Amino acid sequence: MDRSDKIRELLDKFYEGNTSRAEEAELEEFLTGDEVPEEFSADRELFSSMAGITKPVEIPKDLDQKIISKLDEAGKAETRVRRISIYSFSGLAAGLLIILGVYLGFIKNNQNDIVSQYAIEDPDKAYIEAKRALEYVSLKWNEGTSELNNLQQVNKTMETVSTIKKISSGSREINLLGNLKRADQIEIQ
Amino acid sequence: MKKIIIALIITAFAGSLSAQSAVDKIFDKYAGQDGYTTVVINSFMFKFLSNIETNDPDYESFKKATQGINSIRILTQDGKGSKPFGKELLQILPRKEYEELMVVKESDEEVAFLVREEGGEIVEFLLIVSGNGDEDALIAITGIIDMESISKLSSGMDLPGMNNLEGLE
Repeated sequence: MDRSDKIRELLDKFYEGNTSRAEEAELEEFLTGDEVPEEFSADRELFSSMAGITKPVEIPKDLDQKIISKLDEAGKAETRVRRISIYSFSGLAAGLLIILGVYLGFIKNNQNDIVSQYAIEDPDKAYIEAKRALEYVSLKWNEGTSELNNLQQVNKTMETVSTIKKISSGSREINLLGNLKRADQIEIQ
Repeated sequence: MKKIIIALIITAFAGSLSAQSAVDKIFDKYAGQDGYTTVVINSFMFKFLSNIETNDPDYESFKKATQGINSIRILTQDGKGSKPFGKELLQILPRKEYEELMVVKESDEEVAFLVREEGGEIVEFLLIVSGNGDEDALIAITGIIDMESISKLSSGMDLPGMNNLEGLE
């Protein structure tokens, strides 16, 4: 059997995953060697690239624990991330609401500005306008209250009338007394 | 969640602070329109006016009358064709808040004096002249309003019946 035939047979076995350690070593030795026929060039590349990693990987004894602890950490990290996102969302919502409130307040204030834009800035003019407005208020107020005053005067007049009435009724009584006196005198006579 | 609730409260609070009064609404509607004159004297100006030097013999009585006043806002009709606003204002004014002090009815117009009280003190005073023509007027005064001092401001003017009033409380 030609060497090449054996190698081909071994490679078939290798790609099917049925080679033993010794057979794999033989393949590696041949394919990483100097005299490799052209037909095995693709296999040679594969074996030379695998040359460094064909040694069995040592599995650390605490690998499983490391993995579990990594998973735990990942779990924790995940929950933290979720919590942060909830907080940031509520913060965002709160921020938006505050902005909304301020904005609405600003609009309303702007409406007030419609009024404040008429605020007089010249003190002389402000004094004249304020005085005029207050005098107008005063005038109208006094016009109104003077009507009340007239009513009070009517009341006073009424009081005077009733006093006069009292006086007249008093004088009538005096007249009666005078009549009685006269009657007495007549009786004595 | 807490933050949202707090924000809602803040929003509602801010909203209530900036709620417009009936007087504000009228000013917003008519101020700056053709046929209306708006004059505003704000608290800053009153502070300033309480400290000026002037030869005006009325200044002392003016100062006394404006002592507690924060602001005066005036809206008047000044042109024909403008719509009277007095009746509209009287309609939208919440009567629970504003007490009618006096209403003087004349043939062509009605003069209403209204006040809003807070803690036993008059904090807002409104004089509303309403009619059907073009002479409606609104004078809104805020602050602590001393009607006695204000009523004395026109005592220098010639007004029938004024002499009798001087001695009255």
